[in-house]
Amino acid sequence: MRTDEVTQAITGVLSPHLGESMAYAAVCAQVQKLKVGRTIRPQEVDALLARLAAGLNVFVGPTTSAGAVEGARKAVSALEHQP
Amino acid sequence: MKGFPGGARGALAVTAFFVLCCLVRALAPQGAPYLRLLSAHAIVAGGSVLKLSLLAASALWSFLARDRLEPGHPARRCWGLLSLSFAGLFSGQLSLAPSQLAYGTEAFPSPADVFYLAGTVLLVVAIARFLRVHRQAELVPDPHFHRALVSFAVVALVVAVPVLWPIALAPAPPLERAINVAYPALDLVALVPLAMLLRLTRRMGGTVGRVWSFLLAGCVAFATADVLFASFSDPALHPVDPVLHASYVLSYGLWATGTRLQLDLIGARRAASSAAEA
Repeated sequence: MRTDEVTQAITGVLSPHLGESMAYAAVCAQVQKLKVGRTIRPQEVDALLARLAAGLNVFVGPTTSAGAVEGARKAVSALEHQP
Repeated sequence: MKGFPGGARGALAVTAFFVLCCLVRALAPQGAPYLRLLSAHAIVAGGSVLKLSLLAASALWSFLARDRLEPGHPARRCWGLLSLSFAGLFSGQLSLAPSQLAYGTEAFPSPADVFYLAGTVLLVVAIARFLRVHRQAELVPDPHFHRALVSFAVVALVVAVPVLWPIALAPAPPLERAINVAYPALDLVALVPLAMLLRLTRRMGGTVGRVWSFLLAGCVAFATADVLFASFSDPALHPVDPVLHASYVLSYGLWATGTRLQLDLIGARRAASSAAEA
């Protein structure tokens, strides 16, 4: 999968919680920390979502955080099944 | 106010109404007929009831927000400290309430100041802990954190001298002067982590950004009210000044709104995820 597409998909899901600008910055920051290239592997997606869940948890609690990350996982999964 | 829970809408509505009444009272020409409705006693007594209600709501909602986070959650203690801080301010207001309601006056200094000072110290500690916890969340890296911290500390020190100096030199008994200096001094200490927290959350939007906008705006209004309170040379003017009461009610109203929104953020999502699981 292309990293920029995954970034956009996750940003879209996190935006209602953090706002679009902050959500995009947060996803990009975690992508950089994981040293992900132009394409992203499924294990890297898992690691990325785990980091985002941990960060979001501080602001919104574990339940909301887990719900948001589950939504992000579905959005990324939908990308995989696109023709 | 789309998407605001009932409690937050109610807190905002009563706050806006009271602030409007205070502004009318402050700006109306002497002898205006409607001033009879907005007498000094009415402002003090109405403000007293409103402050008690908003502080009780803030303390309760922040405690519930703490309670909904599992033990060991990094923000749990922060919400607990914030709740204690609001409870301290509530106790101070409660001890002033009888004289405010009966006579429209308040003693200064009084035992209420012990609660107010304790509440303000707890507020500073809570803000500092929130800053640490939010930073440790590492959602977005902040390479200039320490430089910004030093800059804000220097600004606070520079502002402290012209703000605190005239208050410290005002002709008043030593205890009164010490308390008058303590409030804005504590607020200036609070402004450093507060400014850092604002810096950290300024780019936030969405539901989280909304919560923090209200909470931090409440802190700014509270600091402004404390400086106004300490700047009056004649303490006899404290009870009747509508701008002072409006500033405090505004800060308590913003806190109540922010804490209610945070509770909704945690609670509503929990319900939503339970429904999804079902």
